[in-house]
Amino acid sequence: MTLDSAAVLLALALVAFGLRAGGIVLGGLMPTAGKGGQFLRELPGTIMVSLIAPMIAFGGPAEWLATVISALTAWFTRNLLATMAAGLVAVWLLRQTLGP
Amino acid sequence: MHPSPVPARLTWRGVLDGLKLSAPLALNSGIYGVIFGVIAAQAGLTAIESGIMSATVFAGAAQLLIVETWTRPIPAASLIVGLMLVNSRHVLMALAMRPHLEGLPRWKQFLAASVIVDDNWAMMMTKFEQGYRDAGYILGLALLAVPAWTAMTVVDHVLGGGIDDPRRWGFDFIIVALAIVIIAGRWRGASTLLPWGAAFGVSVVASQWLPGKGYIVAGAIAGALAGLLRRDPGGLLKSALEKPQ
Repeated sequence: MTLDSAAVLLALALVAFGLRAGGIVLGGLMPTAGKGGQFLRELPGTIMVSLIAPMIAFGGPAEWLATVISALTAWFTRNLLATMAAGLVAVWLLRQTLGP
Repeated sequence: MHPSPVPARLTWRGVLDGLKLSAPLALNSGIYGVIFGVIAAQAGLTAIESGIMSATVFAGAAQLLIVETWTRPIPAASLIVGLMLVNSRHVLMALAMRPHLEGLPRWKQFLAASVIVDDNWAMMMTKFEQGYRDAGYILGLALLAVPAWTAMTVVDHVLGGGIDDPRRWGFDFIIVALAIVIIAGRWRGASTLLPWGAAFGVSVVASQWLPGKGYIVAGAIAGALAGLLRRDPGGLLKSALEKPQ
């Protein structure tokens, strides 16, 4: 390993940790009562929606159907592993039959 | 009134709980590690270099971007900017996790946050919102994934290419299924559609013109701000913090 790549790798490691730690520091400064607290409580849901929205919006029939199947499994079982398994199997089968 | 929070924990017991559910995440990481290893080798990184990056950066999408941009001389500034753009969502994820870590020493809070990726964060938040208090869980989830990701990076680097497309196996869909569980668990009637609808619309539009994964940050903030327009649902966090476990 050369000196320049070692230096860049160190910088990347620090930035990657800094982003994760930065959220903790920011969160410590934010009030957990009132609007600040409500903002924090809304975040997990909106992060999750934003994480997958483009994947669903720009997906095809296979992804849409697998999303519906996962949602039904999640709704009725409330079980993480069951939903992961259902989604994985559904998207795998649907892509085989409907095409990617 | 604001409840007095039950203090958080970070124990081996929690690590063990997470470890029990870590296999699918480790498998997923291992497969992406293989793909990363191939591209890293093509970009001219040595096995040691890509192994170190996987162990310390531990972020699939960001590392793919990094090795795709990696040339000689190394464009350090654009690599760092790229990493910040792709991983900016980790700031929000740690921010959302922070209230559940209240009372832990700062280094334990950093430790729990240091392994955040999309899937283990989603599983950790689900547990927290069910009233579980042990942040060791996310470390347990990552315990196999970090070595799997790192090892497969190196292994594939040495052997030279195996798995080409995780989409074929549906592994790219794991995060969708995880997100849906969280979303289903957070449903609190029609008013929930306001923040989620805003998040959906903004992230879809932003994904077309924001670089990296900035669309997640844009959508999440827009959605959470839209949520402030409705009455505070009181929420999962409050009840989770009130319920000792």
